[in-house]
Amino acid sequence: MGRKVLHALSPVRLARRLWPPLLFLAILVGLWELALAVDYVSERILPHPKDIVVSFWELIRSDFVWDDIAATLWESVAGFFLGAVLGLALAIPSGLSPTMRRMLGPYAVALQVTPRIAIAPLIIAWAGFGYSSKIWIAAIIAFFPVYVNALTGILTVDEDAREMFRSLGASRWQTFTHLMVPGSLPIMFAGLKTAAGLALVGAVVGEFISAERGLGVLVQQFSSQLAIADAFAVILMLMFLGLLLYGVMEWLERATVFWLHDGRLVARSRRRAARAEKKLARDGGVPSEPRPTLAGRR
Amino acid sequence: MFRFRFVLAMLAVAVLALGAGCGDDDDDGGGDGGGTQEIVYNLPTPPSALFYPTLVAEELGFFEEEGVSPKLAPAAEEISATAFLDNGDADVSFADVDEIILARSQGGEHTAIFSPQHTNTAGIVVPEDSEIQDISGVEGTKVGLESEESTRFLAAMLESEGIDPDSVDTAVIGTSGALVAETFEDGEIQAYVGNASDFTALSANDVALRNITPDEAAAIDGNPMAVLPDTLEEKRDAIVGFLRAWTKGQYVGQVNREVTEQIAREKVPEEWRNEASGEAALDLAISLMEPDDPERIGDVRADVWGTAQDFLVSAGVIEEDQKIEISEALDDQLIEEINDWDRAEVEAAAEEYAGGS
Repeated sequence: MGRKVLHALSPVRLARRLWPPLLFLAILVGLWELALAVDYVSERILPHPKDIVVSFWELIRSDFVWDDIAATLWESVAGFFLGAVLGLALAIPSGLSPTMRRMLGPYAVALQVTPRIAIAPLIIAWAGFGYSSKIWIAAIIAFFPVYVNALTGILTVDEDAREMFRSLGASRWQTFTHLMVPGSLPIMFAGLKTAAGLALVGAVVGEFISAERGLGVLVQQFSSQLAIADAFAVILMLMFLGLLLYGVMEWLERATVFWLHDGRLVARSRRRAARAEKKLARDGGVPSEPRPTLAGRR
Repeated sequence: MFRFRFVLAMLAVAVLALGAGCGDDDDDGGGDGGGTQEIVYNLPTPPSALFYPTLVAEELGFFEEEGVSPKLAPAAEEISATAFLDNGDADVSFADVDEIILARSQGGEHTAIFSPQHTNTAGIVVPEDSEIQDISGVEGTKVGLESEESTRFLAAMLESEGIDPDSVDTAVIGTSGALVAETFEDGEIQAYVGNASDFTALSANDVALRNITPDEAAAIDGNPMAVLPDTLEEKRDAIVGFLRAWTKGQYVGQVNREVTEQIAREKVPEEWRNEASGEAALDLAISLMEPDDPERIGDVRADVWGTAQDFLVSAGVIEEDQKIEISEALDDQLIEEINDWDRAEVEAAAEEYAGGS
C-alpha cells in the first residue's frame, strides 16, 4: 500500500500530472499582468495576482476571517443536506409512483425555472435574518439537481435486471434496495456533486442580501471600501470552499459507487477474497477458487 | 401497501428536513443573555463603524449596564426595514424616513421614536472636475444608482428642482467603489446616487467627488428608528435600555474619537484592511451622528419629516391624498429618558478603557 502511494506521488508522475494546469495558470497570469501593464484594465478593478496572494495569506492569518468561513461553510453544508434530503425524499416516491411523479413534477420544474435571486429577499423576510434564511436559499438551489438526477436514476434502471429480479421472486423492498438504489447511485451522485457547488452559491446570495457574517459579507465590504485585492482573496476562498465541497462529494461517490472505479473495485475484491481465505484457514477449511462476484450488484 | 407506507415515510423525512431548516435563527449561536432583556434590532449593514454606537456600547459594557442583550438583524437595501418589524424578525428597525412614511400611508403603525443621524446618509455626487455644479446640471445626463431603490430619491431631488425625472437616464451600478470610480472615469455616468459611506470610501482612495445633494434632501434624517406600538408597549424597558446604551456609545464617539477608533478596529477589523477607507468611514459616522442638541441625542424632528413627505409626494411615490399626519408618525416621549445619564461617567468609562487597553 505504502509503495503504491509513493509510486503515485513520485516526482516524475507528479510533474506529469501537474504541468498542464500549471502551464495554463502561468499563461493566465501572464495575460493578466499584460492587461494591467498596457492599462487595458485598471488596477482599481483588477489587482495584481501577487497582491491577491498576499491578501489571501494575510486574511487567513487574521482572526476574523475564520468566523466568516465557518458561517458560509455551515450555511452551505446545512443547505446542501436540506436540499438533498428534500430532493431524495420527493424523488424516490416520484420514481416509484407515476401519480406522485405527476403530482410533484410540475412544481419541481417551476421551482427550478424561477430565478432564485429574485425570491431570495422574500425568503429572508420570511425565514428571518439568521442562518436559517441562508440555509433555505441554499437548499432551494440545491434541491433540483438532486431531485431530477435521483428521479432519472430510478426511472432508468436496467429493464433486464428488473425482469431478472421479478423472475427470481424478489420482493419490492429487495428490488428497491438491491437494484434501484445501486443502479441509480451514479446518476444521483452527479446531482449531489452539482448541488454541493450550488448550495455554496445560494449561501453567498443570501449573505449578499442580509447577514452579519460570512464570506459574501466580506466580499461586499471589501468591494465597497475599494480593498479589491482583499475582495479577490475572499473570492479565492470561496473557490476553495467550493472545491472542498465538490471533493468531499467526489470522495463519497468513489467510496459508495466503487464499482464504477476499476482500481477501487479490484482492491475491494482482493480485500474480500483475502478475508474469505483467512476465515477459511481459521475454520480449517480448504480455500476454494474465488467465486465470481456480481461486481455491479454486490 | 408497501408503496403507500414508503411514500408516507418519505414525506415524514421531508417534514423532518423542513423542521431542521426552520431551526435556530441565531447567527451568533444564541445565549440567554444572563437575565438581561433581549432585543433584536435591524440595521442596514453588518456590524460596522458606520453604526459605531453599538460597538462602543458593547465594548464599554453599556448594554450590560442597562440590562439589555441586543441582537443584530442586518439587512441590505433589497429588503424594506419595516418588513422586519411586520414579520416580527426585529423589535426595532433603523429604516429610511420614506420607508416609514410609505408604511404608514399603507396603513402601518410604524412609529419613529429615535433618530441618531440628523443628516441624510443618501446623496448625489459628481466628479470634482465635473461641469455639473448642482442638481439642475444633471438634466440630460446619465446617473448611476446604488440600487433600484435610489430611483425614487433621485426623482424626488429632481422634482424638487422642477426637473422632469424622465430627462435623466439611470443605471444601477451597485456599491462597489471600484466600479463607481471606473464608470465615472470612463464617462459612462456623470453623477452617482448612493450612500455617504460609499462617497467617503471613494474620496479616501483618491477619487475626488463633489456633493451636489440639494439642501432640502441633505437635511432629511439618515436612519430613524421605527417600532410598532404593540412592541413598544410590550418591550418598553428593553427598548429604553437599548437606546440609553446607544446614546452613551454615540456620545463617546462625539467626545473621544480615539477610543471609538480603538474599539472599531478591535470589533470590525475587516473595515480597516483599507486604512484610508476605515478612517474616512469612522469620521463620517461621527459627523453624521452629531446631534443638534447634545442633551437630546436621537431627537425626532417633525419639520424635517414634513420636508421628506413633500419630497415623496413631489416624486409621485405617494399621492397627495396618501399623505400621513407626521405628528402621529413621530413619538419623542422617550428622548428625555434615554438621554438621562451622567455624561461625565461615560467620558470616564471611555478614558478608563483607553488607559486600560
